[in-house]
Amino acid sequence: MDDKRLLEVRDLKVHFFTDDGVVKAVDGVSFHVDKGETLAVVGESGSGKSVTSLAIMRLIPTPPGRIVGGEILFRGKDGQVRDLTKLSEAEMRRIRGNDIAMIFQEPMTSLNPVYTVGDQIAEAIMLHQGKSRREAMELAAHMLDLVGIPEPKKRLANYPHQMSGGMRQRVMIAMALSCNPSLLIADEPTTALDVTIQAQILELMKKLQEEIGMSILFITHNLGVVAEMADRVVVMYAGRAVEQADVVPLFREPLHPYTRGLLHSVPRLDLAAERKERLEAIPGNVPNPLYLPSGCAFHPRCKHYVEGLCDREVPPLEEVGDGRQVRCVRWREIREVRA
Amino acid sequence: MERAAPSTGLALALRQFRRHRLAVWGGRILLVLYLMAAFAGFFSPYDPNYYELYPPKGNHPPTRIHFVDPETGRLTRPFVYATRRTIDPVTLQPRYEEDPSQGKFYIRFFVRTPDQPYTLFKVFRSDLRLFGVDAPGKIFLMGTDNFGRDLFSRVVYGGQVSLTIGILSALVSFALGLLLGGIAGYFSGRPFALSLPPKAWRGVGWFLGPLSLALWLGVAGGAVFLAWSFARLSPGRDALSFLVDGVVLLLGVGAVVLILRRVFREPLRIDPDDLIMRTVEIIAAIPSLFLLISLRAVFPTKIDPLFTFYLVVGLLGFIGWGGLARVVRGIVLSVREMDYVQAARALGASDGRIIARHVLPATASYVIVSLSLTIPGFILGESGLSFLGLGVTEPYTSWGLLLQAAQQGGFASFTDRPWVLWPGFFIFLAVLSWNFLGDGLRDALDPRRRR
Repeated sequence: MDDKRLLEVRDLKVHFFTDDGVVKAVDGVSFHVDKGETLAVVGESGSGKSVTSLAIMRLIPTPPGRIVGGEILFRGKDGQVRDLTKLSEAEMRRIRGNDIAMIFQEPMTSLNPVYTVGDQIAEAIMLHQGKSRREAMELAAHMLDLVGIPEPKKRLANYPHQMSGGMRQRVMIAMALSCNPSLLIADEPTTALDVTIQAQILELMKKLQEEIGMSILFITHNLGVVAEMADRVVVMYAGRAVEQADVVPLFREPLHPYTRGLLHSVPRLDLAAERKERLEAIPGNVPNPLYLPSGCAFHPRCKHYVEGLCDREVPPLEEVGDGRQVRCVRWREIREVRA
Repeated sequence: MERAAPSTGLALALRQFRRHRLAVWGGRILLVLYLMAAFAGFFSPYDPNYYELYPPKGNHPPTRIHFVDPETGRLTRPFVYATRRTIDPVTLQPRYEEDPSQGKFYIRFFVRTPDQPYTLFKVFRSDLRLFGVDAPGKIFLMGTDNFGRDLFSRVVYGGQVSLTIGILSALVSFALGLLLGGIAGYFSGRPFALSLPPKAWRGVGWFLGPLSLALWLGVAGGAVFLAWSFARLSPGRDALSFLVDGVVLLLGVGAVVLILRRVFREPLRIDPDDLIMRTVEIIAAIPSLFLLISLRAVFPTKIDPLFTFYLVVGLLGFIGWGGLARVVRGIVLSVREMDYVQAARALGASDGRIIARHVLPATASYVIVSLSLTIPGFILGESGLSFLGLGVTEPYTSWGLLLQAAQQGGFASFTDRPWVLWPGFFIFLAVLSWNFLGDGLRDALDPRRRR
C-alpha cells in the first residue's frame, strides 16, 4: 500500500442474509483515504454508505449481515498495515476508538443519559490509554475545551439532557477524538442539527482536522456539506460506487447520470432565478435491494437509458483520468448532452 | 444557560419519593420491623422457646399493664400483676386472674436475664433486654401459645425468618432472572454452537469440539441404554414381545444414528434467547406447589430445620425467576439497539463492558421497583408454605408457622384466644409496607410520573 494511504477498501462486499433473500447492501466497493484527507461518501438512503462505514469498524450486526468479500487495509498508528476483515474481535476492539473513531447521526441518543459527559469521555480514554480516572478527566476537560464548549471543567459534570443538540454533537466529537484517532468516520454528523449549528460543527471538524491531522471519512447525502468538507467524493448507488472524483471536477462536470441528477436536485437560489423552472428531481425510488434491476441498477430512473444496452450487464468502473472513475457505459455520449 | 438546581437523577428521585407519604411510612415501619428482627434478643423479653413447667402459663392472655395505682388512684410507673391460673369448670380451659397479693411488678428497662442469654448475629453473647419484669411476675405483651411461650418474643424471632426469606428468595430469583434474562436479551440473535463437527475444529474448537461430541455421544449412548433396558425389562418371551423389543431397539439405534449424523456433519447452533425463554416457559408450567410438597416429602424429616429454610428459599427463588427474566430480556433487547450502545462499541468497548456499564444500569430502576414488589409476595408465600407444613419447623419459628400453630386450636383459637392472630397482623403489616415502599419507589424512579 502506498505510503500516504491510510485506508484502502478493495472490492468490499457486505451481504445481509435475511429470510426473504440475500441483500447485497455493499457489492464490490473500492476506495481509499489518504492521510489528512477528507473523503465524502454520498448517496441516497439505502445506497450502502452507512453499511460501508460500519463494515470498516466491523460493526455489522452478524447475523444477519456478513462481510463476504474484499479487503479493508488500514495503516495503524504503529505504521503497520492490517486487513481489518481478518482481525480477531479483540484486535478490532483495540483499533476501534483508538485508531478509528466514529460519530453518529443522532447526538440526542448517542450519549447514555445516565452518565455525565465527563464520565463518558473519560471512559474511552481509560479504555485505550490506561490512564487513571483523574488524568482521564483532565484530558476530557481539555477535549471539551478543544471542541469549543465554554467552561469545560464545569460541563464535565453535566448530564446529556442538560445540553443542546449541537453541544452534544460537540461532546460526541470530543469523545471520538479523545484518543487521537488517525481516521474519523462521520456518519451524517450534521443531519439532525439546525442549519446554523450544522455550519458550526462542520467548521469545528475542519479546524480539528487541521490541528490533529486526521483523515475523515464523511458519510452524507447532503451535497452542500460535501462541497464544504470533502477533498474527494465517492458517489454510491444501490451498493456500488458509481462515480469517484475530486470534489471540484465532480461538481463542475458530473459524469454519471445519477450524480448529475443529485446535483440538479439541490435547490440553488442563484440558478432558480435564472432558470425559472421547477426543481428537477430524480424520478422513481431507490430500488428494492432484494430485487435490483438488471444491468446498471440506476437504469429504470435514468433519462439516458437505452434498452438492450443499460439493462444487460453491470457496467464496469471505468478510469477516466486524474483518478476519476465512472460506472456508466454511455458516459462519453452523455458528456456531450447539456443537462 | 446554566440550570439552577444541580438535580441529578438520584436527588430528583429522592425528592419525589419523599412526596409519597405512604411509601415513607412503609419504609419507616419496615426499618423498625427489620431492626427488631436483627436485634431480636434485645427486643424480646424472653427466649422464644422458654416456658415454665410450673406454674404453667399456656394460652395466657396478654398481660394487662397498669398505669394507675389502685391504692392512691394516681398515675404511676407502669406495672403488672402476677397471675393465678384456674381451670374453667365448664370449658376446661385455663383462666388467668390477676393476683395483687403478690405485689406490683414494675416494668423495668434494660434488664439483664442471666438465665436466658442470647446471641446477636450468631457472634455476640448477651443477656441485656429492652424491657422486662422481675420474677415471678411475667409480661406477655401478646399472650402465650399453648406451651406458655411468650408470643411477642416468638413473633420478634419469627420475623427473622419471615422477613429475610422474602429478601433471600427475591435475591435468588433476581440473580437468576437478571443473569439469564440479560444473556437472553443481549445475545439474542447470536446463536452459539452446541456441537462442532470435526471439520470446524480449528482454534477454540480443539477444546470445545471433542467436548461437544462427547456430550452428544453421551446422549446417544443414553438413548441406546434406555432402549436396551426397556427390552430387558419387558416381560414375556413370546413372539409379540420380541417384536416390541426389536422395534424399541431399532428406534433407539435409529435415534443414535440420526443424532450422530447431524452432529458430525454440521454445527448445531442454538440461539441463547430461544434456549432460555423456552426454559422459562417450561418452568412456568411446573405446578410449583405440588413440586414443593413432593420435594418436602422426599426430604428426610431429620435434617436441620434451618436447612429446610434455605431449601424453601432456594425453591421459591428458583420458581420465581422466569417472570423477571422475561421483562429483563425485553429491556435489554431494546437497550442494546440504543445509539449509545453502538457508540460505546465504536469506541472499542467489549461486550462485558457494555453489559456492565450500559445495559444493566438501564434495568436498574425496574429491578429495584420489582424487587420491592416481589418481596412481599415471597413473604406471603412463606406463610402459605408454613401453613402447609412445608416451611421452617420447630424449634425455629416464623410468622407463617405461628399462624399455623394458631389455627390448630380450631375455631376456639379465634374466639377464646384471639391474641394468637398477632403474627397475621405482622404479616399484613410487612406486606403492606413493602407494597407501599415499592409503589413509592416506582413513582420516584419513573421519570414519566414526576411532577
